[in-house]
Amino acid sequence: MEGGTTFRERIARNRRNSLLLIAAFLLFVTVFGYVIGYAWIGDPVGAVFGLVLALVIGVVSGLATYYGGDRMVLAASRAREITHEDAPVLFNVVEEMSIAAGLPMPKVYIIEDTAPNAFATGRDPEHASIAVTSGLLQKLDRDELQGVVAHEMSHVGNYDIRYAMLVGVLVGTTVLISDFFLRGLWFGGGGRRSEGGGYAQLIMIVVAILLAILAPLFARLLQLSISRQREYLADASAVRLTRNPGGLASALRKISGDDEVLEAANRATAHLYIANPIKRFEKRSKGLFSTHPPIEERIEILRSMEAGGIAETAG
Amino acid sequence: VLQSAWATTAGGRAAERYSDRKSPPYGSRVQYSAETPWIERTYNRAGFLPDAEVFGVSIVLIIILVVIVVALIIYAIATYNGLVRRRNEVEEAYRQIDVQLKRRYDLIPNLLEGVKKYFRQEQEVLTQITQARSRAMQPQSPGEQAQSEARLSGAIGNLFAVAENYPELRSNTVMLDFQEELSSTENKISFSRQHYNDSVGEYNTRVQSFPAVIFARMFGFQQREYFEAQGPERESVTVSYD
Repeated sequence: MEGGTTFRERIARNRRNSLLLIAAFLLFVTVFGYVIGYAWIGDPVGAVFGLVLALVIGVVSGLATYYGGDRMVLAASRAREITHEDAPVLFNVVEEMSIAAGLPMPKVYIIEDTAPNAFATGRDPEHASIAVTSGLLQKLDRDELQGVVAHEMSHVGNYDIRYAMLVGVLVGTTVLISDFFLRGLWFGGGGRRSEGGGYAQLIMIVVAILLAILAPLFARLLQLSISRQREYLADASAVRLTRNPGGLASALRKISGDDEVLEAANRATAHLYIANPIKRFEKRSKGLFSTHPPIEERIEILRSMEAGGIAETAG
Repeated sequence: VLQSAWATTAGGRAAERYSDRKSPPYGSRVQYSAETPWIERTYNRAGFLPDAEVFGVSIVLIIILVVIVVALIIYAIATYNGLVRRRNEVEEAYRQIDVQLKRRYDLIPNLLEGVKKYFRQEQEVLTQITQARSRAMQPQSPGEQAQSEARLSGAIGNLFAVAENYPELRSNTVMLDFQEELSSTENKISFSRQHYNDSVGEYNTRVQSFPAVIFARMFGFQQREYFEAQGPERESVTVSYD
């Protein structure tokens, strides 16, 4: 009972954070665009021009990602949609977990790759997809697969999939605008400067350069820290679905013990996976720049649930 | 606009009345001596004159009351809608159990047909399932229904136990597919019950907790009962081993 309320609160907080993130993002893009416009053209009219341009870029890329991001990610990962006949066990397990979570049945995808991994994407539970690699199906038993699918289903139910997409837009757009400005500055930006700009323009140029360098960095840090928190939460929600912490724990053990690199994953999609698909990175990073919490810690927490803490999460 | 609007308020009218008298009540026209107490200056600037105070304060009070009432109504609506949403979720979860049970009825004949030949020596186990299925499909009271469902689960469990005695079946793909489908069906039923209980837990907590409990009582939101596993489900698995 206790667990139910807290999980619902967490979902509410997630949706609230999504709105806050959008608001903060729009505000930032506005300021960023204004400063760049001012630095570039040298008067308030130019600043407004920059502001409008940045907002248009932000809103267009945001909408494109919101409605088509899942298809882009799935296509980039070379995932293939399956039916019950293609992989009955996987399909059944996904169906069981969608029933346990009370969510609509998501679309199921397989990525032909021997590295064991999985991710979920989509804008809401009604438009969600879960993708697993063929390596995961080969290497895990049914209980472990159930744990992984429950973890992904939790990302769906907690609206993490939407949040991950929004954060992706934030990082992408910030990098885009920064690059746009820095490159323009490099390739003969001086010619367009008006004489009247003077002192104010000079200050704006300095501010714009600072923002253009720092903003993508901060956006990326935000993305990383947020996705780390969400992994712990999805592990806990997964146990609430399967009532079996051992399954997920031993799945994580197998996945982390596997040294293969998932070729279909790249830096843009790495944060979506249940375990970091780019292994070289995971091994030397526990801190700031990791997309995932250390797997040892996650297994530790799951083991402690198995030992007796499960009563708290099991309604 | 603001000024003329202000003039029509009680404070404004009182100020005008006051200004008909000898000393102007507010603004720069008032000449304060050094001895004028600060409280008087403040009152005069704000227009809250001694005889206007009654009107001014009551208007403020009314506004505060209206705000409180509106906030309460909004809160009541949100709470009511939240309770309705959760109650619907509980009902939806309950229907989902039925959906899964019906699916099991539909699946069983097909599945048994596929593996019949492997169980020639164990006809009894198969008829047990068929009988339990047809008994569960008959209309009956909820209590009886739960018992016959449990008996059906038990019969299916027996079949799995019996299959363990045939080592050659363990690598048979038809048999493995059959086991997967049947056990997944069982899982779906138990997960739909688990989800029902989760929804009931959330709903009951909401109905019981303050201040939602006030609205819950007012609009007749009853607590719901959990689904409890019935005894026979566990018994019959062990009973028919011999």
